[in-house]
Amino acid sequence: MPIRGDKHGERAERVFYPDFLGGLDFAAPVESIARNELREAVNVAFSPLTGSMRVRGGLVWSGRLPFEAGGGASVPGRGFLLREKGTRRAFRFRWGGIGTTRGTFSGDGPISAAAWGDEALLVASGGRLQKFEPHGYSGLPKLSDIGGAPAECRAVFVRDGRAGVVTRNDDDGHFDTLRFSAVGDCESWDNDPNDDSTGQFLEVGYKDGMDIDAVIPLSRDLIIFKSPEGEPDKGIVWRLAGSYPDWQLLEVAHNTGTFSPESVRTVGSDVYYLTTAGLASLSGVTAYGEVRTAWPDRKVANALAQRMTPNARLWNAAAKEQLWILPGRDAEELEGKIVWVFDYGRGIWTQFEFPLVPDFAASIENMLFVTIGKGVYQVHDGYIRDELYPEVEPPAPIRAKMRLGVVLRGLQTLIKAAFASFVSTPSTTAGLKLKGFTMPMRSAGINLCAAGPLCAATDATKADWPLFPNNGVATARQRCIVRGWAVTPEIEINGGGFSMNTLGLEAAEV
Amino acid sequence: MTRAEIIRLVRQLISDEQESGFTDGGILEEAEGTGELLNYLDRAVDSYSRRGADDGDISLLKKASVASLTTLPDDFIKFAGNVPAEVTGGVATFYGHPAGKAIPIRYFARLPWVTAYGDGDELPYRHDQAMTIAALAAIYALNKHEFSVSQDLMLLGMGAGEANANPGG
Repeated sequence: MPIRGDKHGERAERVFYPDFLGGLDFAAPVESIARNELREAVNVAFSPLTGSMRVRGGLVWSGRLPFEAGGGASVPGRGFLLREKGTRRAFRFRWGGIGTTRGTFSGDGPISAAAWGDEALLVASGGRLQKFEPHGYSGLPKLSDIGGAPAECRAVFVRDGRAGVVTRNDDDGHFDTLRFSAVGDCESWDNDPNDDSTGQFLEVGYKDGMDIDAVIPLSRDLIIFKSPEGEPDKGIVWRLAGSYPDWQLLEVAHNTGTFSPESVRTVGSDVYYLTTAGLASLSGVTAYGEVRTAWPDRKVANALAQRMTPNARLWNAAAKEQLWILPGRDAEELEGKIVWVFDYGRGIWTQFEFPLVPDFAASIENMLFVTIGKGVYQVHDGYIRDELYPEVEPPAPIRAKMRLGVVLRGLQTLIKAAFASFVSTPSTTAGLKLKGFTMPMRSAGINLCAAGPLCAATDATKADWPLFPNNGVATARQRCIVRGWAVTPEIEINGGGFSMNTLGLEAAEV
Repeated sequence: MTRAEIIRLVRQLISDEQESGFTDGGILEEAEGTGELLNYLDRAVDSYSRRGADDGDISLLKKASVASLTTLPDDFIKFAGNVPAEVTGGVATFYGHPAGKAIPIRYFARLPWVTAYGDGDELPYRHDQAMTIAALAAIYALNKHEFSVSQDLMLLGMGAGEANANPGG
C-alpha cells in the first residue's frame, strides 16, 4: 500500500478490498455492503481461470438462423434443438453449425424435453407430444408428432420407462393431469385395466383450482408445480414418489411456485425455480417432508423480483456452474438484454449484458452457447470481443463495469493514493474511477505461461495471452487528491480477458 | 517558466495531475479550483519576498526615483540601508528635501504576483525562486486537505516557529 509518511497521523486509513467475490448485494445500504461486494457488476463473473472476478467470455459467432429463435431444448449428447419464432420450424445446432430439421414444432408454448431411449428426444411445446430423432429421416434429423399421444402437452418427462406429459383433465379442462405412456413405448398411451404396463394417468391436486406449470425430477421423485393463473406465489408444490401402482402423491410446499417449464432447472440434487419473488430452490433433506425450499437470491431478490414476468426463463450454464435468468421476454429497453447470472458453486450474483436480447442458452460438453437475434454464439473465455455477425460490425470490445460500495465517513473523505492488482491483455483498457480521477490499469501482456494447450492460440481475432496465469500479476499504483462527502470507486473495463483481483485506497477523514 | 507551467508544477508536487483535487473551475465543498492554487502562489510570492528582504537577498533590490510626499511603489518592502525618510500610510517624506523633487532610492521589492500574468506569459522568476515559490504553494494546498506539512516546511528552512513569524507563511 502506498503511504505518504505520516501525513494524516491517526486519521489515515487503508481501505483494502481483498477480492470482489461477494458479488452483487442490493440488500444493504450502499455504504454498508461488505468490502468484497458490489453494487453494480455488469459483464463480470467469477472465473476459475483466475480465481477472481473476470470479464465474461466474448461471443463467437457459431451458426446462423434465417429468423430469430423462439425457444429451444438441449438434446443430450447431440447439441440442441431450436424453434424459429413465428413459424415453428425446427433447427438443430451442434458445434459444427446449424442444420435444418424436417418437421415443425406442434406448439408455441414454453418448450420442455426429455431424452427417450438411445437416440430420441421427446418434445412438448403446448401441442401434441413430438419426438425428435437425429437420424430419423434418411439419416437426417426429424421432428414428428406422436399420433397416439395427448393433443395438448404442456410438459414432458420420462419416469420408470414411461413417457409422461402434463395435459388437460377431460372433466373440467384444467391442466392438472399427468398421463403416462405404456412402459417402453412412447407411441402407445391407451389404458388396459388388466395390464399394468399400459398407459396410465394421474390427477394431481383434485379440486385445488390450479394448473400444472412444470414438472421436474428431484432425487428419486418428480416435483410438480401447480399455481393459479399468473400467481405462482400462491401455488402448491407436489411430489410424486414411487412407481405405478404404488404411486404416492404428497404436498411439499405451499405459497410458492413457478411460471413454466422454462423457469425450472435441476442441478444435481437441487431444483432451482423462478417465482414472483425471485429465485428459489428445492432440495432433498432428511427432515420431515423430505424436501425443503430455500432462497439463494437473498442479496438481489428486491431488484430481481421487480423485473420478473410470467415469461421469465432460467437456463443452466453447466459449463460455468452458473444459472442464467432472463426475467422478461422480448423487452426492447436495455433491461431486456440483461441476464442475471448466479454462480451456484459460490453463491455469487452478477449480470451479463449482451448486444441484443438472448433467447436460449445451453452447454454442449464444456462449451456454452447462447442464441441472440439470428445467430448462435459461443461464449468463449479466450475471446476479448463480441463478434456479432451479421448484426453488428465490426467486433465490439466487451464493456464491463463494477461499482463498489460508497466510502462514507463522518466528515469528508480524502483519497490520496490507489493501488490495484489485476490480470489483463494488451488490447484491453481498464481504469479505476474516483470522482474526477482515473487510474489506468494496463498490462504489458507478458505471456505468463509457456505456450501450450492451456494457452489461447495466436489468432488474428484473439489476444495473444494465457488462459491460466501461472505467476505474477499486473499492478497499478497512483497518488491523487480526491475529496468529497462520499466517494464511490468504480472500475470500467473495455475489452475482455481482464480480471480484477484486489484494490486498495489510502484514505483520511478530513 | 510560464504561469501555466508553474501551476502544473504545483499540481505535480501535490499529486493532482488529473485535477481531481483542485479542478479548473472549483465548487465550494466539492473539489477546490485552479483559482485557489493561484491564490496560494501569490501568498508564496509574498512570503518568499519578505523572507528574502529580511535575509538581505540582493536579487530583490530595485532602484526607483521617488519624490517627497508621494506614494512609494506597490512592491516596496523596505529600504536598503538607512534613508532619512518617514513613511506613513505608504507616503514618504524625505527630510530636508522639498516636495516634488525626485530622490533616487534603493529598496527591497516584492517579486511580481503570479496573478499579474496571463496563462502563457513568462514569469520573471529565477529558477531557484520559482522552485521555492511552487513548493510553498504546494504546502498551502496540502494543508488545505489537512496533511501535516511540518516536515515540508522544515525542508524549506521554514520550521514551525519561523513560519509563524512571517505574515505570508
